[in-house]
Parts: sequence; structure tokens; C-alpha cells
Amino acid sequence: MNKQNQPFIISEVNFTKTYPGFTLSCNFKTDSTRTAIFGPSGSGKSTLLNCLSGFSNPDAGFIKINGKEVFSSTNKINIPANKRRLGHILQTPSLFPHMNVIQNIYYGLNLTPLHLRKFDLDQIINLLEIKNILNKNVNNISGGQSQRVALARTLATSPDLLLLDEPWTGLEKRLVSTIIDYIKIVSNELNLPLFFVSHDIKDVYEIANQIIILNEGKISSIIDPITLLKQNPITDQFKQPNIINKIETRVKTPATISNLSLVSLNGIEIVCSKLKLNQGDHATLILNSKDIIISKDKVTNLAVENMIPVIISNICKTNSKTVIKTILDGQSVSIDIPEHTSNTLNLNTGMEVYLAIKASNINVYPQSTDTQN
Amino acid sequence: MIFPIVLSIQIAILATLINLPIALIFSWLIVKKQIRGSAALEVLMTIPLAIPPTIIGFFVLVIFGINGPIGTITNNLFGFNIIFTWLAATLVTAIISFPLMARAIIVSMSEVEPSLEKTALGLGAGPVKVFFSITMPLSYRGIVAGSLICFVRALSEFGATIIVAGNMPGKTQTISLAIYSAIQSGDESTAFSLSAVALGIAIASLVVYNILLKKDKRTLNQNE
Repeated sequence: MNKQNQPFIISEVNFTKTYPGFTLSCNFKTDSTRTAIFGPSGSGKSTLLNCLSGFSNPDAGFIKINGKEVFSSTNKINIPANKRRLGHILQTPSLFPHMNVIQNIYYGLNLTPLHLRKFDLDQIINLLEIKNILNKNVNNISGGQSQRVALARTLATSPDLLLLDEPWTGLEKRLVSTIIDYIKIVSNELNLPLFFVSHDIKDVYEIANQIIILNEGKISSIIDPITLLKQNPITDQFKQPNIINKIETRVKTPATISNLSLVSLNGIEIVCSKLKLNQGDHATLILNSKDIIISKDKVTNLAVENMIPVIISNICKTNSKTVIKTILDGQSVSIDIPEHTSNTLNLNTGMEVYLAIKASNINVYPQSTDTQN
Repeated sequence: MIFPIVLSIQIAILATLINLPIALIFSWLIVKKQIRGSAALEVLMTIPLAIPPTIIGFFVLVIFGINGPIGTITNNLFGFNIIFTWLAATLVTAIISFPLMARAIIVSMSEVEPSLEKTALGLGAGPVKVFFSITMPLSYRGIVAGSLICFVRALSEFGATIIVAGNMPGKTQTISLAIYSAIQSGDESTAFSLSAVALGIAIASLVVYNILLKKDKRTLNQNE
């Protein structure tokens, strides 16, 4: 497995692509590890991804990946999709139906020259937890498993950049979050930068550290999740199925031996995934309410790294669920739970409860200067 | 009586083998590459199905005959002309049975999900590898069906064959031509025997086709 720090892929794009009644015009440069292409349907997100991967050709302009021109209308360069070494995962898993799971995975691996194979296949299989389905026919596995196999198949080719065109489309909500978790794990563990398309702000907050917002074929802004979060206040998100929480902290230990990090909040330590920040740096934690389990007691025999004590400040009941607002060192953390769970737990304002959170479910971002002030 | 049977099978196999790569390339150009003029190409390759075989025989005779544009060249270069040989019979048989094979392949190739080929390309496969590893295996049913229909049609070819190859016993006489000659000469028992053989080969081909189809369905059911 490639554990060494790879340089981030720098993508530089300046092109136009016209279809009847629609023009996509893109001009941006990014060295972000996880870039979201966000926008409404028909804004040109998939077209942008297709132009990057070589499935579509721009009419004019250039595309540079890591300093290398893969397309240039001026220099008459157009590296075909099969030679760009970009792993493009489509909305549907598109597993080859005449091959079983392992044959699907080996399809791409066998096409990759030995000296270009950066990732260890066994680790990919373990990370994506597909070891027990390797010999199964692709028609006999579930939608979530299919997406993981599609991801493994692409990773087996050791791409320089992963392009994800909303591969969780059509999956049920529970599976979407599972796939997103796997994508985060893979990106972290393999040090693999990615571009992903989404029209759902929650996915963007969960994965991205830079967001390209597309609207009617034009980039309206390139923004980081924290700034976007400020523009789209958390209170508004009560209308959405999941609530995104933002917690300001400082880094205590950037990387422990188990590849985890510690951030601190006035004595309360929170374990999160490996950081690219230094000790003492300000850091913003982004937490999806669905990833938080609320408990009245401090449970010790649970497979989670964090059991954080908080005080309930408000309980708000809606038609189908209850939103529990808690205070963590003066900062608000909201959790939504089904109404029947709320009744069973018999929660009250002012009560001390514990938030059980897995480290891998905490997204950490460097704090912007204006946020610190 | 053996010669016409052997010759017919030989011509039918050869015509099928000649048609297969051409039909695959045509289908790929029409369905997958969607080249300019695809619709015209599709019409053009269907023409042999729409006109009497005798017309095709006549055109082949004009083009490959001793005074024809190609016939003159082969005659000058090799001192050889294919007219009135089993090669001419193979050529017209291939032309006449081509649309049946091509249409079956076009239908099955158009059912192959383009996202699968796109994915294979993204995984590093070149267009040729994509064709042989994804498009062709997934068009398997159409290719098998097309080949068998082509073979069966080639076995029964009569009109064009008699024009370009004649009806020479022991040289160019196929099953159909031998049956024709037997009827003309009142040899009903030979006509019956040859008809039974032709029918047997056709039925055997269709049985093979059905077995392959059922096997394919069974595999699909197991996968579901």
C-alpha cells in the first residue's frame, strides 16, 4: 500500500463544451484532495467530469492534470480516456455481467502495467469489505456491494485521480452513507485525490474540502465547505433530513500511532481521522447528525472512539422525528432521532447525555481566518 | 449423392466464416461508432434480402465474368476466373445470407449497455480490447443466432448459384441444384433423399441454436 505522501494532483481546467441549447464553460485550478462539483441537475456537472476523463471532448481550451496536458485544442493534444489514468466511476456500477466479482476487479488490474500498480489489491478488498463476495456472480450481490466492487475495480488500476459521478444515485439512504464512508476511507488510506459530482449539499459537506459550484454551465464560485456552511446556516438545515454540525476546536495531536488524531475542546478530547494540520492549529469539525448516537449512560464496551458528555439544551419535536439540541463547551450540536426512540429514552432539557461518534465519521477542516476571529 | 451434400456444407461454412467478421465490423460501425451514413449503410446491407437472388447472381456474373471489371483483372493477373467454380457459388451465397447475420448482430449489439463499454475504456482498455472483451461476449446470442441463420440460408441457396456457378455435377452442384436436377430427370428417390438430408441439416442447426439459447437462459436464471 502506498503510505507515502503523494503530491496532491493539481488540476487546471479552462475549456468550453457546447451542446444544442447548452454551453459548459469551466475555468479553475485546484490542488484540493477532495473536490466536489456541486450544482442543480442540468448544470453541467457530469459533462465536466466526462471532459476530465476523456469520455467527452471539449470544443476548445485545455485540461491539465498534475501539470500534464491531457487535452489542448491549441496544441492538438487529446489523450484518450483509456490512457489518462483517471478512475471514472459512473452513477450505475456498470459491472460486467459476464464476469464474476473478482474477474471484474482483475479486468482493470490486468490492463495496468506492473510499474504503475501503486495500490495493494488485498488492502483494497479489505478496505471495501468485499472479500466474502469475490467469487459471486455480479447479479447476485446487492446494490451497495455492487458499488463497492465498482470502486474496487477502479482502484485496482491505481488511478492518479478518482472521478465519481454520484455513484450512490439510486441507492437507499442507509447505503448512500455507507458508500460515502467507504469513499472517505479509501481516499484517506490510499492518499487518492478525488473529484465527485453531487447535487446534495449533505454529501458535499461530508466528503469535500473544496467545492466548485456550477450553475447553468458556468462556475458561480469555488468555495470551501466552512464558508459554504456559513452562507447556508445550520438552522436552515432543520428542514433537511440530516443536520450538519460544525464544532470549532484546536489540534492536540496531529497523528497518533493508530493513524488517528486528537483535537481538544477545553479539556474535552475528540478522536478523529488523520489530519494534515499541526499541533495547536484551529480546526473545524463537521458532523452529520446521522452519525451521532445519543446515550443516557457512558457506554464503555462500544466500538466507537468518542463518548462525549453534553447537556441537552432544547428538544424540538416535528412530525416524524425529534431534534435534540445539546451544548458541547458552549457550542451547539444537534442530533435527530426517531420520535419513538425519543419517547423510550425519556430525555429532558438540562439532562447530561453522551454522544457516541466514530472517528471516521468526523470530517476535519482547517479553520478559516474569519471563523477564528 | 455425397458430393452435393459436402459441397453445400463447405460453401455454407465458408460463407458464414466470410460474413462473420464483416458483419461484426458493420454492426460495430453502425451501432457503436454511429458513423455518418449509418442509416444508408444499414439499408445497403439489407438490399440482398429485398431483391431476387437471380439479380445478385446476374450482377456477380457481370462484375466477375471474363469481361467484367474484376473478372478481367483476375484473368490478367492469375489467368483465373471464379465464374462457374464453387468459389463463385460461395461468393453469391455469402452476399445473399449476409443481411440475416448482420441484422441479428446489430440487434444484439445495440442491447449492450454503452456504460459497460465506457467503463472498460476508463479502466484502460483500448477500443479493440473493449470490443473483444465486452461488446462481443455480451452480443454472443445475436452472433450465434446470426451465424446459424446465415448457415441455414446458405445451405438452401439456389437462384444466384445456378447463374454464377452453373449446375455441374461433381464440380459446382450443391444440394439445391442436385434436387432440381433429380426432379428434372424424374429421379424422385434422389430428390427425396437429398431433401431429407437438407432438412436434417437445417433442423440440426436450429436444434443447436435452441440448445445454446436455453443454456444461455439457464445461466441467466442462475445469476438472478
